[in-house]
Amino acid sequence: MPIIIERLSHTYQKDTPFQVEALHDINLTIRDGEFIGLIGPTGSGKSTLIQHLNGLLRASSGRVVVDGEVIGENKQRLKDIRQKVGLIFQYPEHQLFEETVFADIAFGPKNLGLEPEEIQRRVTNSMKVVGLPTELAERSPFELSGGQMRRVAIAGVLAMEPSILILDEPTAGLDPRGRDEILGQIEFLHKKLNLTTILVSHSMEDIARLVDRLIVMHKGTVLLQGTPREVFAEEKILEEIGLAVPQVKTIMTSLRDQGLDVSTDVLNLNEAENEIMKYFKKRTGGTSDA
Amino acid sequence: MYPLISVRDVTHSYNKGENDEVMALKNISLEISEGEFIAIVGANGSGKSTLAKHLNALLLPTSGSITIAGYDVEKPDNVWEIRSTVGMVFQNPDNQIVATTIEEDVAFGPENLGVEPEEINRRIDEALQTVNMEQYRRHAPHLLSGGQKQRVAIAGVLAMRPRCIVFDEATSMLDPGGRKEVMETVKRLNRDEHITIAYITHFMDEAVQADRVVVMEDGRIVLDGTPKEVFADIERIRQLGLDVPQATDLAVRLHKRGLNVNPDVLDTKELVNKLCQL
Repeated sequence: MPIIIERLSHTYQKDTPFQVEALHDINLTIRDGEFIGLIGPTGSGKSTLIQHLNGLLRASSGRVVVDGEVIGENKQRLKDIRQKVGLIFQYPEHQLFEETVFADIAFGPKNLGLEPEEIQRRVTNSMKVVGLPTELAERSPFELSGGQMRRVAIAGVLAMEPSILILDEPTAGLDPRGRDEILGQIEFLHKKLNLTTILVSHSMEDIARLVDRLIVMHKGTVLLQGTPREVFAEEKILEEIGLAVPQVKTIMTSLRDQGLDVSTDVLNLNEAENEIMKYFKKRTGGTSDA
Repeated sequence: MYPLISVRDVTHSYNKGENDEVMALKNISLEISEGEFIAIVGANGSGKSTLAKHLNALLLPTSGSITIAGYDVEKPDNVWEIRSTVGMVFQNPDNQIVATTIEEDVAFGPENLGVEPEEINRRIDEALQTVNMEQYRRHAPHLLSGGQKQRVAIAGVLAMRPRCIVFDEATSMLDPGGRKEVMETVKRLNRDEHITIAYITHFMDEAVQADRVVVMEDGRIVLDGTPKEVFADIERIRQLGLDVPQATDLAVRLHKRGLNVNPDVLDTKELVNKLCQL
């Protein structure tokens, strides 16, 4: 189910004195099963863009095609499209409303008109995937911890069995352990179910570790795209627009600036460790020869 | 330096006396000196925010006592004095901005304190200058970036002339540039304006920039010391569900591989300096 975005523009409050062009002529293709990282400073258009992918916003011009279907062309089809494209907003736990965890997760599947057994299967399954113990099913979601509430919200989207999953900063405000757990589950879903995944994040370390391809937005346009390695090579551009590179890469760049002959092409601690060791081994080797 | 904030044996229970009573703070004792920059870290649910809300009497202790600049938080008459001594900046910039222009927003606090208009004007100038936002004085808040909004929120607190500011995960919704802006502002407030800072965060690279780090777990303070002392035991830090700064992690790995680097490094600059001296 590829996503094809063609000449997409979006203007908020068009034809009023308050009009703001949030997206300008976006062209992108996202392949089946790809894991995309979407980054950009606040106000760069990331949230506007993802809301076009399931028809929550309508293009001012251009179009979005998901699985061969132009989104928004036929309003009757929006329900289907929203089932296929699961969108998890920032702080999704603020959208919980049912009396029990079960009812909250079952809300979407029920609206699809599924049989009770099928609903039961999907709720149980989604709870398992996000790591919620089954005994929580009858509890009120509002008695749970912040991290657990967020899992309930994510399970609600997974219960729709989407084939595309879009997450807008799913780990904001979580502690490091909660963050690692949620990211671990996203990675698992992506690999196990081959879900096309789009992750919006401000954490360059997480992005560097997880995604196949990075898309960098700036002022409503796509400024850069490529593998994390390619995009993070543009350290200066990223810093100019208010982003950053993973901390280990900053370390390598500083070492290089200080005259150490190390490669700055690293994305994680392992690579940095090996690169620094390689440099010092070579240097000691060199001195003993002399 | 004398303790500006003094927390003695404080316990706090939510839903006291009911089935779902939760003890969020358990016998906490903590002194914060005037001029100190203290970071408070811990997993979600460890009691950080509950503690923060006690520091300006938004919550009162279930047992134990707290004094802020000598004022007892339990006496209702002290509330104004306490709230103008300790200001708070929260997580979501959009929930903290109330007015339609930046200057009106910054004026909101002092107006409520009954400050004279001329004096308010002076304070707006000063506060916006301190956070480097003076050029936005007449702008509308919704067009600002996240980092700029947080700086306006800080200016609003500064206009109340507090001696201490509590930041409750003030950078968790910001992009990397915004985080940096806020952190630089916080450090400047502490260094140049001598404002006492209590800084709650999940980002360890921010915590290591404080003078002192307090680690909470399950309603208790489990570690309290300089960043070097607290991050010396990285296994313990990980066990508490926290991160180790990447520079520290890398230093430890290089040390294990036999390089002559001390593993007590806390930030990028320190690690780079050490490696360059080898």
